[in-house]
Amino acid sequence: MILPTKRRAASAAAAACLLAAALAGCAASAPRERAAATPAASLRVMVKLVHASEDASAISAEASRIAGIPVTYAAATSPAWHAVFLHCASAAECDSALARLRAASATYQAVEIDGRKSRASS
Amino acid sequence: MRRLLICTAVVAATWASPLALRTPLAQTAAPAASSTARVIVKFRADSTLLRKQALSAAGQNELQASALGRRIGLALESGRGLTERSHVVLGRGLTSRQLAARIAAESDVEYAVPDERKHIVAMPPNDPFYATGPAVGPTSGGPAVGQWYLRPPGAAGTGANATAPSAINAEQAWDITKGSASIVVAVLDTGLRFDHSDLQGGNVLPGYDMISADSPGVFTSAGDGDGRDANAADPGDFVTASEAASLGCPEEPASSWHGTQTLGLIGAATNNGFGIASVSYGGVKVMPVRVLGKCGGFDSDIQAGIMWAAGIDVPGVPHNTTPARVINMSLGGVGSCTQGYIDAIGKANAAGAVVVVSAGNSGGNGVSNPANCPGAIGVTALRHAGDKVGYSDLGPEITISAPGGNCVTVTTGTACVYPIMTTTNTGVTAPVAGPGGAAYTDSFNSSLGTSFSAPLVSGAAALMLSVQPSLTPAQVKAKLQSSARPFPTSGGSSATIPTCTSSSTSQDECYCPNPGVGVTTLCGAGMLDVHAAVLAVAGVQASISLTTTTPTANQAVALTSSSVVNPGQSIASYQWTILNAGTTGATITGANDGASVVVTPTAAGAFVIQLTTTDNSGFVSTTTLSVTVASDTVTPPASAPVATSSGGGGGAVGVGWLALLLAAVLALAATAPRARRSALSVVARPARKR
Repeated sequence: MILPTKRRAASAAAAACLLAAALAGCAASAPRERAAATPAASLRVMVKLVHASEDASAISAEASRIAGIPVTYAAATSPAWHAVFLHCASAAECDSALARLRAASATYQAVEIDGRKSRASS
Repeated sequence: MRRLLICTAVVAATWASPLALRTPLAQTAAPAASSTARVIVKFRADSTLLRKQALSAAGQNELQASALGRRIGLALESGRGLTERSHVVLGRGLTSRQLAARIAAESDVEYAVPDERKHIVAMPPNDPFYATGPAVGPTSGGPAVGQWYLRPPGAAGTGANATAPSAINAEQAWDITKGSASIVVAVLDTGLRFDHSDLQGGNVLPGYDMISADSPGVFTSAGDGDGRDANAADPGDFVTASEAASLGCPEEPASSWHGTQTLGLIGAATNNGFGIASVSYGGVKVMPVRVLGKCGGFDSDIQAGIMWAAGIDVPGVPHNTTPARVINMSLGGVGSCTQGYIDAIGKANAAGAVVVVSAGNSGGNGVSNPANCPGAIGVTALRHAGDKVGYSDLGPEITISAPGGNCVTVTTGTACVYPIMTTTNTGVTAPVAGPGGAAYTDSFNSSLGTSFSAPLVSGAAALMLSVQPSLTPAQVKAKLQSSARPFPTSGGSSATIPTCTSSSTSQDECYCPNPGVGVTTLCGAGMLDVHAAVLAVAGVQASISLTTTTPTANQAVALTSSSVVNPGQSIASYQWTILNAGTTGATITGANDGASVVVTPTAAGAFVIQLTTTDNSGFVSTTTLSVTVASDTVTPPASAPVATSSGGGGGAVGVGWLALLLAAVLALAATAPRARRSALSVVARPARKR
């Protein structure tokens, strides 16, 4: 029989969160939650450059030109791999932009959606 | 002739003198020069070394040790007598294992084994929760079996303690190594509660926070209000309803303190009389790299964390001055391995970092990403009984399995019997600072998952690298596999537990298939055995035996490798080099890459020779030997004990010796003073140099 990793009752945690909110824990996250309400179709992708570069501005500008939508720089993994935000008006626009990036094999060796991984506790 | 007679007399007098006055080592091995090697020797019944003399048993043993020592070119002393034919001998300048190997090669010896210290058990650490967790109450405490997973399997005590075949046997590994501070393990996770009382052993490095923005200027996932920086502290990863909506993940009412849990398993202070023990005994360095926040972490941040941890520069991030040899990732997601992970793990491997990843907990489905990536060591979770626990994923990409915690209990609210116990924080959402926030997971707030299997393997890899830093990631992986114990085929939670199959359907609790012809392994090569893994990489130990008992100028001196390898290993190559010829003018005659070598000195003095051995696993060991060379004007008689192979006695003053001594005295009386001084100085010179 497998039991869940966290056995704290949700109600107890919620109550604690309310208490903590008075101190700052939960309350502090509220402004950021509002700020995080970015367009639903915004997409974070990783690109592997054919020619390695550390010029964030140039990388985002080139991605924007190829994708045909606004692109901002997110972070680097290496001189070859970079994460960028695609700012799309819709999910369909994101799909199209992603397809254009993937087709630009002279610029990008690989283009991947910058997905999320989770902790591996059951 | 007269000169030869004088020399003979003095040599004879020397060997007839009290044993305590005998010369010390003729040569010493450079390693362990100050330590005493102890070996139990049993002579064959027909050994000439057992020849009776009119001496006490202790005297007999001393004579045998001396004679044996002359044969192998070392000064040996006798220790405790055991039986008529066996006793302990002591030597210096080499290890007990090396000395045993040299003695065992003698034809008169039935066996020679290191006289090692034994303990009642392998000295369990004094951390109180190692043996048993806190008292079980209605909602907290336990487990009664403590840190069952670190102990020897099946030898961990009574009752439930004795029924944990999957325990990893770290305890016995600690007899070999308690970890080297030069080995760093990076823990890519949610960050760390640095103030935990059991993480104050001085082995925790600052690490780095690699979590970047969710969107420009937005740091909801990071939860600390900023992006990448040098603060790897865990602020908590609870997720509110609105955060869940914006980030697209489930709400989490409580923080996990997951990074504190995984790092504590690897590097919590051990034998400090407090809390828990860790796999590495707290001996290696541990370094948190924060890549998971609210709703997990981005692939790009995780991959940047892999690179940075391995010492590879990441643009915009300061260079990591403490690169990791092991990277633990208790994380994952669905899907096949992507190019980003292939590149990052490949570069980390190339930089010398072992990458260990949890298989995933999707309930017995395929291995998660990045555990399924080339170069990763994927780890499946086992129940205490050694069968695969239901939640753990599995597949052919897995390298090895280790306990992940399981609950053989029954109903909700009942104490879990076999959880993994580790460090955590008492905070529900935000952390509680200081010692008041330091806590341990237990039978009610349980640590369960492949998240906790991977750190056990990472800790094992760190111990392996502690004893053999030259190991490559591929070698670590191979040795983890070859040293693993077979999976059991019984002992599951019911009589109907099936064998795991490679079908596409999810596999609940099942018996892992053992490797074999035509078998697709799904849980790796077997169950992690830390002791066996560390033992497997101890590698070759180079040792030199001086075959020529009395090296003399202008005569060939034979030296032979007496290097020791582990069972199943062999020596692949030898390389002999004269490091320092001194006044001897010694050169190697003939080949210098064989198991033996011949050196020809042209004058008295001492030379230093080096032997480098490489075994078939690529382990390299080097040792040196200083050999004293006598002048060729001094030639001991063939019948003198120093030159005989029978070694017959040497201590007793027989009629023959008395005759020789008398002849010498007569010769001395007839010699001019100048000649006498000269003759005495000839024999005194080598003695001084010894």
